[in-house]
Parts: sequence; structure tokens; C-alpha cells
Amino acid sequence: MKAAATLLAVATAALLPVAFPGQPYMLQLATLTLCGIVPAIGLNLLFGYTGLVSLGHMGFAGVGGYAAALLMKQAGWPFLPALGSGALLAGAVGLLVGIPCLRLRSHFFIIVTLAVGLILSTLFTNLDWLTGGAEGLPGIPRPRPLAIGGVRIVLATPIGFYWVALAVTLGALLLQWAVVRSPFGSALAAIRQDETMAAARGVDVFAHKLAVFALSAGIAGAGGALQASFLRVAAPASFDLAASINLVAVVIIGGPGYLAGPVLGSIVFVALPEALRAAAQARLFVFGAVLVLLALFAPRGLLGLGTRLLRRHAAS
Amino acid sequence: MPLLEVAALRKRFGGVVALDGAGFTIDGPGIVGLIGPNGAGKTTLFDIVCGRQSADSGTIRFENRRIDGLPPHRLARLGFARSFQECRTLNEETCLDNLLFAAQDKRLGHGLRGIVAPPAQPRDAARALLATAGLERFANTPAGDLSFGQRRLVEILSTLMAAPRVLLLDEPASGVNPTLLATLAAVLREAAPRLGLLLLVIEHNMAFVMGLAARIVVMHQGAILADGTPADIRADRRVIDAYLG
Repeated sequence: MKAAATLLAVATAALLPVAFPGQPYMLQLATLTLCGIVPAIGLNLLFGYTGLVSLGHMGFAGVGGYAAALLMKQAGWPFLPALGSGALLAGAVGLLVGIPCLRLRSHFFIIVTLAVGLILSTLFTNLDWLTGGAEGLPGIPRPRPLAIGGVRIVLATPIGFYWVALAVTLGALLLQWAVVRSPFGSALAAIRQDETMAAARGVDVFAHKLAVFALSAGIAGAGGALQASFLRVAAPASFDLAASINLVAVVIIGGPGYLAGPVLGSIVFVALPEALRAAAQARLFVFGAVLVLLALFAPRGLLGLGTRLLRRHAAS
Repeated sequence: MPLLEVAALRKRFGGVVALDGAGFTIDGPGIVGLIGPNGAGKTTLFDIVCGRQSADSGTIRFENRRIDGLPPHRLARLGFARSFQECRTLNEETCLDNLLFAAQDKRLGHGLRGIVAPPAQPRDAARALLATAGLERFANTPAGDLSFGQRRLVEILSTLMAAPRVLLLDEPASGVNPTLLATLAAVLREAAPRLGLLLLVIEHNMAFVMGLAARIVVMHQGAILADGTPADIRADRRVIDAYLG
């Protein structure tokens, strides 16, 4: 049942550009949504499953984005190795940052993640020789065509890149699923529910937090690399504090601690502003109101709300 | 070689002396009760043995190895397990998953390898253990939906699932109704010899602990007041004055 629904969703997503031909704007939005899902998956592992809020996570996405941009632009690397290296570098930065930060608890940790996000975004804006400063790094080349046997798949077109983004997103979702059902994932869930108890049962809480922080920063880095190569520019505005806060909003809206939470959150986050385009000035206002309502009535996001309603329906 | 040796533990919280030279030696597996009035230092002693707090001075040896100062997760891997006075379960997980989590190898490397190759889980053993306490029908119910007494049983069954060598139970009988209490006593009486377990039980329910333990250690004002069989303790003048009344 669940497998069938997942398969259907994947097939729908894959056929989207074919089903709506000649709609470049829709395709652009869909690709942008996919670019948002990947870092949200990283934050979902950290926040939704382990219970650690990071308010600076797009900083790590930026590390991945800039690294991939430099590798593709300056060193002429192909897309996939550049994305992988960006993710690894972001994970390594996460590991280094995590060692001091994760010794702090609850709100102290949250404040420090905010500072980390600010520091990273300041570096992106000011290290002109490396990051291009406020202008960023424009002109990232499109992925080269993929040749499997005799078939040549062009990835440089909007549709081609949509499929690239879809493949990367599915990879991240697969990783999220594998982590969550692993013994590592159960230890993370135990840490979220009761740290003292998890430690008493033999979980090295600090080591687990550090591992998931690095993993989550790495996934965010992959998302940043994907976004940079889609927009063909690594720019500071993509990875600033506002972007980090938006990422937290995406995870909260979708449903923290649900596998599909980042997907739903990202769709709502991109689609809702589009629907409200007519009332551009009311956009942020409506968005704020939605967040407050969710926090009050659906602390586990839209998926949490849906699950609760379904259960109530089944009970009655 | 004694199994567990606690010697001259001292612990102060500001002006309050919680432990004032408490110590005892336990030679082998079995069930030992730890009783005493509120504030005698029983839970502090447990917390120190399990690494949740550190003592100001004193030593703890497990099979002649110094273990005081080790963090809780290291002690757990040596074979220590505990239940908490306030009862701690994973309330969002089902009872079955609570037991399976307790049984799982908690080392980080093992957990990470499990992302690629998930290990087999002892589901049958967990179900069987739930059944011994009459909880099999709650196997797929979140632990948070159970009554306090049932959650207490789930907590203790979870600790047993990890096959510990030393199990410390902090007031297992509190908040548990008489029927469940009889079940709990039966489970513990059966499990302790089967697992070759040293079971240390803090308890205020005298009937429960005296019926369960072969040896009782009485604490009073941070020190050991008396130590002996339940019959000796019941007859001990000092214990009657200080605690039993």
C-alpha cells in the first residue's frame, strides 16, 4: 500500500514535465521545489528525528553550493562529482562546527547554530577572492549529456535538469529512509524522546548527535550544490539567514519527523506564495499566520495533522 | 573476586550531605534490596553507580575494575542497566519497539553500518518477554498510551531485553497496582537466575522487597545502617527505630 503510493508519487513526479509540455514556468517552479526538498531532508534528520533545531543550516548548503560551483567552474569537474564533493565538504564543516556546539544544550545550541549560519553567510559575502562576494559565482556550466550505452540523455535542457534534480532528491529521500529505519535512526529517536534514558541504555549521545549533525550538513550541502547548478550561480542570498529560517519553516509546515515532511513542506512553501501572487503584499502576512496556526494546532506539521485526522476518522 | 564493590562514597549538594561514606560488597548474582527513609541517599547512590552523577570521593569496582567516573553509556556497555524512579520509556514508540531498542547494539559504528545492511531484530524474543508480563496485546501500542504501572513493566522488561549483568531498579513497585506487582515480582524472580543477574532494588514497599530479595541493605543519612537477610533486618532494633517504625 505504502510502496504503491510511493511508486505512484515518483512516477507522477517523473512524468510531470511530459504531462505539461510547453510550460517552462511550471517546470522552473517544480525544479526549484526539488532543490528545496534536499536541504529540508537534512534538517528533518536533525530536527524532526533527533530533536535538534539548527537555525543556520542553509550555511552548510552554501558550503556545498560554493564548493560545487568552484569545482565545476574553475576545475571543470562534471556535475555529480562536484555535488558529491560539495556534500562531503559541507559534512566536514558540520563535523568541525558540531564538536564545540553540540556540547551545549537546548536553546544555547539553537543560538549557536544561528551564529554559525550568520558567520558562514558573512564569509560568503566577504571572501571576494573565493566566493565572488555579493555577486557570487555566476556562469556555472550545465551538466554534460549522459551516455548510457548508445543512448545519449541531454541534461542541459530545463526538462533534463528537472530529471537530474529529481534523481538527486530521490537519492536523498532514500538515504533518509535508510537512516531512519536503521539502528542509528532508532538511537536518534531515543535521543529526541529522552536523552537521559538513551544514555542509560548505552547510546553515546554526543557521538550520535555529532554524526547526525555532520550527515545533515552534508545533505544540506548536496541541496546547495543542486540549487547552485540549477540557478547557474552560487549567490550569498540563497544561503543567508532568511533562507535558513525558511528552511526551518519548510520542515515545520510539512511535518518534522515524517519521511515525506520535507516534500510536502517544500511544495507548500513554493506553491503557496505563487497562489498568493495576486496579493503580493499580504504574502508574508498570510505566511506568518499559517505558521502560527500550525504551531498552535498542528505541532507536527501538515502530515501530523493528517495522520491525527485519519486516526480519529478510523476510530469513529 | 566480588562482583560489585562500592566503597566509602561521599556526595554533597551544597550544605546537604547525600552520601556519607556508604559502601557495600556484593559477591555474586542475586537479588539485593536497598531500603531506607526518604533522603537516605539511595537514588544518589544509584545515580553514581550508573554514571549519571559523580561522587565527591569513594570508589566503585565491577569485577575488580574501577568503574566510578565512567559515563552512563560506557557502563551500559559493560552490562549495567537501570530503571528510573520517574519511569522512562520511549513514549512515541510501540512497546515492542521499546524492547527491540533496548536489545540493539548501541555502538555508533554498528548503527551506521545498519543504514546499509539492517541487522536482524529479536522480535520473537521481545514478544515472548512481553507475554511473560501479560503485555502481548500492547505490542503495537505506543508506550505513552499505557497506564503508569504498565509503562513501568515495559521499562523493566526493556532493561531485561539488553541481558544486563547488573540491573538497578529504583522503586519499581511505586504506582503499580497489586495485580501488576505480583506479575512484576514473578518476572524478576524468574529472570534474575536465568540471566545470572545481580538485581539491586530500591524500594519502600516492604512486603514486595522482603519477599523478593535474599539480602537487604539499609541506608540512613547517607551511610549503611544495617545489612543482612530480610529476617535479620526485620528484627534489627536500629532499623526499626530509624525506618520500619
